[in-house]
Amino acid sequence: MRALMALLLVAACAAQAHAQRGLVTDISDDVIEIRYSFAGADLLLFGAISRPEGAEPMGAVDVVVVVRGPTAPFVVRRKERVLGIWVNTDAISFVNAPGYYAVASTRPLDEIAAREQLRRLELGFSFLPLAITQRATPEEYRAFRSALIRGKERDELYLETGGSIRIVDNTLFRTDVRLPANVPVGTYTAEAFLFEGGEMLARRSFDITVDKSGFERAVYDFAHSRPLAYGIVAVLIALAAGWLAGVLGKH
Amino acid sequence: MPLYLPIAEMSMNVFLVIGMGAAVGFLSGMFGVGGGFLMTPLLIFAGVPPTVAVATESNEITAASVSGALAHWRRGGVDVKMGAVLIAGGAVGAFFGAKAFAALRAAGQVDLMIALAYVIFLGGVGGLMLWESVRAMVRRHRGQDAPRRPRDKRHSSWIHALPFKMRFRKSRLYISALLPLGIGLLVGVLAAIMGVGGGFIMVPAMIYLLGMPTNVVIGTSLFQIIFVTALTTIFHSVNTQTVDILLAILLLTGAVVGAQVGARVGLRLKGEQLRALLAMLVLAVCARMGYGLVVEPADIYSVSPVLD
Repeated sequence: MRALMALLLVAACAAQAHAQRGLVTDISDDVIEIRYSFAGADLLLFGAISRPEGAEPMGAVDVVVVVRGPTAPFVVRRKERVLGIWVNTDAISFVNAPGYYAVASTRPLDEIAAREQLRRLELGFSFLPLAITQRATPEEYRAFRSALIRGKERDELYLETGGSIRIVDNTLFRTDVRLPANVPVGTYTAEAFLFEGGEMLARRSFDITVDKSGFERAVYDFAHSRPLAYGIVAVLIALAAGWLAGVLGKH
Repeated sequence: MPLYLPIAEMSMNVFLVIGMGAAVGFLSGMFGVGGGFLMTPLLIFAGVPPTVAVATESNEITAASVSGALAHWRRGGVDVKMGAVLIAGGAVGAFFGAKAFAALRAAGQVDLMIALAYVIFLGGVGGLMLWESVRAMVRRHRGQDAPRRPRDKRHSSWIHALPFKMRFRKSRLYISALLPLGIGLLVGVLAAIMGVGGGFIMVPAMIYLLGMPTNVVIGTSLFQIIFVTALTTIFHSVNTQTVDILLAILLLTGAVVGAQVGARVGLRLKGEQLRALLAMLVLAVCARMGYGLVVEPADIYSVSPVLD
């Protein structure tokens, strides 16, 4: 009986300890503006782990940071050789792939937690939910899914980097987030997860806004909201520039 | 110095873009061609999405043709009536070309179509030009004169048989309007799907098919190109929003300077030498485009956003 009491007490303490793990995170910039000179952005995401006084980590301490861009539909096409030339033949559309997806972690994800845990938290390329609406065999789905990830990796829009986070004194951590020049605009979420001994003990998320601003925004908006007027203005500018060039060229 | 292009949605080095404009401007000034057939592939090779390259280049060609057209206009080298008929055909061609372009883009086949159009038309025109200039060089070497065709036998009999004849005073022609309409139509389609002015098709067609006197050919061709590329720019803006004004202005800046230098160099070369060089350039672009079609891509899968 006494042993059982003691066991319950320990369990309760442990539960409390779980609840008391905390994460504080921040980022160097939470509003990214795409301006004329935008060639990508390097963000510094940093944070601290808080534990009740005197509490020791319960096993290996790991941090995983996920930055996700707005989702959009993407189509993956496969080429085949037709009459000697390479032609797009089959295609599968993914309805809600994130436009940007970067996972940084202290170690490779499969060493940090069990697959079920990773799947539940949607951590890593393998567990990124990428839905399709059309019919496809499992092999085809897998081939097109990995092609989507590969293509986005080539554009530096998807990154999975195990070992890119370092934790100092079991409390402080930091990671670099690289947004290339071709990032989609919209609201991004950055989320940090704390693992101790393979258990997720705390998570914290916040938003990052990526938006075009100034001249870039104005041109883009104009082109998409009033395409006819944009086309006419483009022609007028070309006519004026061409005429001006002719006048200057003479002298 | 990187510059973010708002419609292409990519970052490019300003000096690279201006340099590309200058290089193409130099060649077009030297050979007296528009340069769209060089600029569009170059933009594609530099990583600009083909759809943006084609639409933006239409916009640049409008600008690049203005001063030339004005100079010919002052000299009386524009057959306005012929130009109007060519423009009418060109407008229809550009309209349907841009529609087809948008539809093929949604179907994921537009890059293939652009490349095929380049291979077919540049291959054909480049081959003919090379053949013609080599023959001219051989003749000159042997001290022979080019054979002249008598003016009243310019047209084959099928051309005389066509209905809707019209009088074109400036070109001293009385021929069916269907012929320039058809040429304009083809050039309009090519302008919309290849990002070219179409001079490389129109000028030979005017000389050999219509039999126009050479002093009005270039002016009338430029006159038509301004209107048709302007319409193409508007059609692409409306259908696909792929005209990047900033990219067009940068290219033009380089092209203006390059063309001045190129024109001076061109004066020092003989006509058939120039044509042979141009033919080889055309064939080189054709070969590069063709190579892209037949060589196995590094990844046979490609990812693109779904277009509504």
